[in-house]
Amino acid sequence: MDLEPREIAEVLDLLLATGAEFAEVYLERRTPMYLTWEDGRLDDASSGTDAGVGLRIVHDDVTYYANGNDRSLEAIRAMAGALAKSLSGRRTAPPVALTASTAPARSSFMTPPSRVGVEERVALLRRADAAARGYDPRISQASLYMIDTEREVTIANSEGVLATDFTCYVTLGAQVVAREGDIIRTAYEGKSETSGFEMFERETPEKIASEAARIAILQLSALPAPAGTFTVVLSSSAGGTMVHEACGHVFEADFIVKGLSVYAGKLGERVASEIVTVFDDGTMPQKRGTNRVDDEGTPVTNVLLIEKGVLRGFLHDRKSAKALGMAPTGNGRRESFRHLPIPRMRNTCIAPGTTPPEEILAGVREGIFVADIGGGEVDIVAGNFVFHCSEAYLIRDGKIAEPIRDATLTGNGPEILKSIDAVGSDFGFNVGTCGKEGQSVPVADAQPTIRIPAIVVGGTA
Amino acid sequence: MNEDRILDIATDAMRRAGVAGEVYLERSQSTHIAVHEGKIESLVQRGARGAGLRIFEDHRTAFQFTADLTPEGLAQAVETARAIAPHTKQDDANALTGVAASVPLLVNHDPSVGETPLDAKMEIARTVERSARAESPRIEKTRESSYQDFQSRIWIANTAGGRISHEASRCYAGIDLAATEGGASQTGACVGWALGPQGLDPAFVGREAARRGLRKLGATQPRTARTTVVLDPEATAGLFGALAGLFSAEAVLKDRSLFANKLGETVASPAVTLVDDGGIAGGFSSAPVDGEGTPTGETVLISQGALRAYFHSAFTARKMGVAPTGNGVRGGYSNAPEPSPTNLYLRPTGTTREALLASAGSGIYVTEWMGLHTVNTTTGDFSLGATGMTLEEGRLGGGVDRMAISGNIASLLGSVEAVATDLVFLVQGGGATVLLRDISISGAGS
Repeated sequence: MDLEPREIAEVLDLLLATGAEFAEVYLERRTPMYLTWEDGRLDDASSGTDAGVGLRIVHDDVTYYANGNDRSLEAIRAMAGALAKSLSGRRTAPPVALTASTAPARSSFMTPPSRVGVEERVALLRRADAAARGYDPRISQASLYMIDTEREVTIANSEGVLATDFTCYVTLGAQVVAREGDIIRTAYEGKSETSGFEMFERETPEKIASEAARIAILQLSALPAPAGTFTVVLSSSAGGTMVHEACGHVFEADFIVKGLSVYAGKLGERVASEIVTVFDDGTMPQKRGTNRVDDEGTPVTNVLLIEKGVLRGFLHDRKSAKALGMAPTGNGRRESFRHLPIPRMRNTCIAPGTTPPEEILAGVREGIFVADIGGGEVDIVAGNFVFHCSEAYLIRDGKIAEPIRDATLTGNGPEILKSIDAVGSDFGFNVGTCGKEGQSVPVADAQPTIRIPAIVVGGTA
Repeated sequence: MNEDRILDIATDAMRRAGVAGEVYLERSQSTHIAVHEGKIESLVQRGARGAGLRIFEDHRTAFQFTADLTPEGLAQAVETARAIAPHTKQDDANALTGVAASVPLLVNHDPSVGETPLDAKMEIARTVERSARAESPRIEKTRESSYQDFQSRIWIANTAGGRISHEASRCYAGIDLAATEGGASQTGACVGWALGPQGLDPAFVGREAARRGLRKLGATQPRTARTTVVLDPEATAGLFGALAGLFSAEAVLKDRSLFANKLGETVASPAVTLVDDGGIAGGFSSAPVDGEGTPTGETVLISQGALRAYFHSAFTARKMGVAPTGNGVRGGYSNAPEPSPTNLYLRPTGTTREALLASAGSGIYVTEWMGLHTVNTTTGDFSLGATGMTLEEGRLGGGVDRMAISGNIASLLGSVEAVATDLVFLVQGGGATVLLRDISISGAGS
């Protein structure tokens, strides 16, 4: 932190001088490094430092926000003075007394990226490359992406919050191409955590790369996906992309406040099948959506969203919590100091049930088994979603049959949650980067194996 | 410290270190005003200044960005890049790129952006919302009506003494709303852009978003079928933007494009002439030079169905032995340049939109896609969620949604029958009404 607490308090005083009810200082520094590996060599290396400050005041429910790269006290003072000129009243806020947050750290960082040399990163990439190419001679191309970042934020506001958070993100992705004659198939596998480079002890480069290779080879023999409406068993190995895309956004309380979510005004009502429990947990150690505090300094929490089919809660930032008379949940997140915080998901999960996954599959005469899913998109207002299945199979007589390729699932999220008729006892994670209002934030999601009786499968056969 | 001084310091630091290199310096300001129910919700003012430095040493390269533009910060960036470069691949095509001797003439900046008072900008955002609500009592809820603007000045300087600078501005009016009837809601969104605030038509943006939401109310699910599909100009722009990776010389060099090694071959129907032009007046992605200082211009990628070219950065052009196309695009000072499309559009085949619809017969008219980022440009396979209207005997009917359109890009490009003359340059790219035949739609039933 370049600014002392008393200097931050002085900036808050400048911001409050013209009548703002609320003022906030947000300082951020991040040092990303992006490495791409291609043809057995380090193809691109890009890194740097981005640092800046965001100042916010709120008056009469209007938010004024200014931000810039210069973090010198002099520049921040000037920015605060200019922002305060948005208002023309006199100070109404009481004196500010900052108290350092005692929120516990959630993830540990044994080997932060700044302690890892380029040659060590290259060694990890080399291992992944060897694993992908060694998997099968039909693997013709392995492209690897290693992205790591250290992010340090300090947040202070006129209500006395003074919080800091230090998070390291480590990501390794493998994009492989398999060829057999004229047939070309691709597959992607990636792991990402709030972690130092010790992540690679759990998620070895070999494991990540050979999984991508396995799926690409499988796709060589996959049949075109059928088109139409089918029963779908979504395996826990697919992670929770479905719950994130299909339902997660409608819990974000800015949509509730504006009446745009199908769940607005429905707290306590039955909105899903009674075997469905959904939560968003920002406290899960090392998961990609975890922090110590959110980007407004509120400690992260585990938010119960749906309990046995009944709507129990929403994901809040300070603004939405105030508007609905509820408590902030630690979900006010921003991409960087250049953005205002908005309610966002962290680690969104469907809770495991009691049915063994094999039993769920056994109950399906004809359908689709989805083992892994890629990207997706949702229309929050209507609840309609689409996502791409990166590994899927036909189900015949309760058994997994031929692999199929390029299937998409499309449907209405809240309707799907009502229709789920089996929830497994297993649990699997996926990671992603969630986009909303032009802001990208890291997230994770998880679910057990579930069964959806009828959903549209986009295919060509 | 003024920008020329920063450029001097950065290039001197590179020369002293004995490396060739370039510095890309950006200074920008932006404004974002959000209105909700007639009231200002937020006002965000953003200032950014930073530099991206790329060094070349021993035919290797590394990129560093920094917001610390002090002599120490710049020297540190050069040193860090030098420490990383020896680990990167050695390639003869890794070499300093010459910047244009002069900046080509292009109207790309409207100084009125900085001179327009905040009140007038707020009124633009309010007008969008008012006109949306005036369209129908069923437009009750809005997510955000907004006015945004962006102004930037870019400098590119290199150790060979080249130095250029250019300015850009963009303004936007947009809205995201919900049309509601009988408890069901549908989104309608629209965004318009111009170089300056006077070029915006906020009333149109509001009305159009309302109409988009309204026509989705009561949308039905079509049956699974093979049928005729007509793409709305915005859907065309979105789809071809998602296909752009096919033409990236980088993807071709890395054998990740379906169109690798296919120059001269027929890859689309004769109705397809696909052009990328980064220097076109009135193009959203226009600039006089790209992120490496190479002049932009027209590149015909597909001419009457035959693959003619890829788009290039300086590196890929050198690697493939062709002239650079001015597509070394940067996302900002923190991004290294890479081959990217600029204003991609289908050249009209001469039919008006009305004549195209009349000749289409019956099928589906697609207005919006979901999942465009999942299109696989290596294999060409795609499967997208789609929303639109029914098309009955050439007339647009009721809304349809919950359908997926799947296939392979190769067959999709082969199915283009006509491109209407209603070409517009949208934020998403160039768009025109397009007629496709024999497309697989997944919906109700199998």
